Amino acid sequence: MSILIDRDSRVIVQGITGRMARFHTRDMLRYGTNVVAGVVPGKGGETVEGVPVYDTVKQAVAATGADTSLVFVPPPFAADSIMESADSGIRYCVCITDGIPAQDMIQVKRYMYRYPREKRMVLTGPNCAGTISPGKALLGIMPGHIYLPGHVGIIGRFRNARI
Amino acid sequence: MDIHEYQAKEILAKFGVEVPKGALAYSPEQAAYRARELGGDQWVVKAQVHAGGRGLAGGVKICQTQDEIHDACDNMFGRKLVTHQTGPEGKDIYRVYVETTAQIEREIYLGFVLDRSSQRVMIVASSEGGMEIEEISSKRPESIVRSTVEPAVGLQEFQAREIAFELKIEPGLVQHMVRTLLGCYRAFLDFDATMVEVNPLAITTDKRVVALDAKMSFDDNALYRHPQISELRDKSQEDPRESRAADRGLSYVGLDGNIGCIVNGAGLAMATMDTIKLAGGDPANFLDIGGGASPERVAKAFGLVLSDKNVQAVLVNIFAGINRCDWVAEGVVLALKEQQIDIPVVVRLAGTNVEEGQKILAKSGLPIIRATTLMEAAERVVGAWQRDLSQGTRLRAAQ
Repeated sequence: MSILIDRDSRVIVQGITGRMARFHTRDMLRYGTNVVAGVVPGKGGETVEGVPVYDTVKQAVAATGADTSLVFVPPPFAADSIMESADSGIRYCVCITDGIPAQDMIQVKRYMYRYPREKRMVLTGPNCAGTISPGKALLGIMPGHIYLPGHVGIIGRFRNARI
Repeated sequence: MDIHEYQAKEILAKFGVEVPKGALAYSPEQAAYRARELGGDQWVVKAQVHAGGRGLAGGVKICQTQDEIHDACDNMFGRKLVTHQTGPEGKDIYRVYVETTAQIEREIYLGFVLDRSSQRVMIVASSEGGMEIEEISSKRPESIVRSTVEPAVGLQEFQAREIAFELKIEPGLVQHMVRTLLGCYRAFLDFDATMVEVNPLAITTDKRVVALDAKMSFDDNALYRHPQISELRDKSQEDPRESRAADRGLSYVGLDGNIGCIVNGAGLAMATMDTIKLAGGDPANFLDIGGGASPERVAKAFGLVLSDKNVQAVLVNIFAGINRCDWVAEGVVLALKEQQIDIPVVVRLAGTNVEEGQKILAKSGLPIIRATTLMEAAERVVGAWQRDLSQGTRLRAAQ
């Protein structure tokens, strides 16, 4: 999906210090994704896989020019993290987290509509495997090697039904 | 998660919704005693099960004397109530709710649901209360009034008034109706409900607006912030196989074939079941181990699938993204070592850490049949199951 992510996308990972997030950050870096920062409140100044961690998304955006976010935050806090991205100039966000309360997502969707269309963040997920532009960038938890470059973008509902 | 009628009424009453006076009972004697305490000369005894359609199934009885209450309860306690919503196996009755009755002038339908297309809470109301909403929408669709709630500000009084006037509530009762609507909405919002249904909401002859029945369902994903709601869970009302799986962090649906499936993700589970069918077999279940499954969780999934006596072969099909093939392989090995498994097991792994996973399976020395594609896996499990079956028949014939 090159209309959403490509080699130039500057990616942050929210919740990067978690076990699964670390694992997949490494995978994404190996694939060639331009992961420029992580965000975990209270852990600013640390690094994960060589990626600097910031306390807030705004700090990460200011320091790195990030425009894309991957949310790996546990369900009770995930909605808050998506809204933080939407308010910080992130243009495209993928939320991996599964099990976010429906009322929280109602709030998130309503919050996103505060912004005029040209400034509004695009969200895929929650409970989503991610987005890939084969050979360019991987944003998510799919194994990259099974995808081949092509000319047709595919959007699917169930993460594994595509395979 | 669903709760009982009496529990839903207790919650709604706290938010200003008027409900009849009532009390809970666990035995016929207690029910008669409760009726005496409540006073009056007519009561309704209602079986408390997590299903609609109780009235038609004999789960709701109007009684004039304490003997009648006793008899009504005798026919409920210890029995299974079978309604069109419970399935043929029915639901156990362990408690009844005894209520005073009201003189009904008219019945309203009131429902609050999460409307996925507008991504908001929607109120659905109808002047045709007493019927189920499915029936109303097929027989009297013009009677249905809908209104969606703007999440930034919540339900507004004017919206509630509009609904009241649409339903032709008499002017003197409009304020009471508005209070009822706002109360239901607050309860919905505060406790992360996915559904609040009051059917019927009665307008009584003495000019009150009373919730005669109430149903609430809650968002399982939000239960962590409502311990007081989680406590209301009643396992006696759930399918034991499914609640056992839920307690282990797995989602399970029992089917009637012979091939047990252990899969990750609902999409892959469906694709797997289809492929098994295509290969000439029948799936025994749908089991989703979810994401990031530990070896222990995989082993527990095995235990759960094998507890189904119909299972004569198992197919493990994992396409690992957030899962890890090495963990799944460890889980399979753990299960086969710990549990006596004498049926064919086919494992197909793909994705994250697949090489490590294959190594673990190969090194284990266990009779695990491996496959690389889904079609191959399905053919092998169906083939192994058929061979096993014919050998079994031969063995039995030889004995």
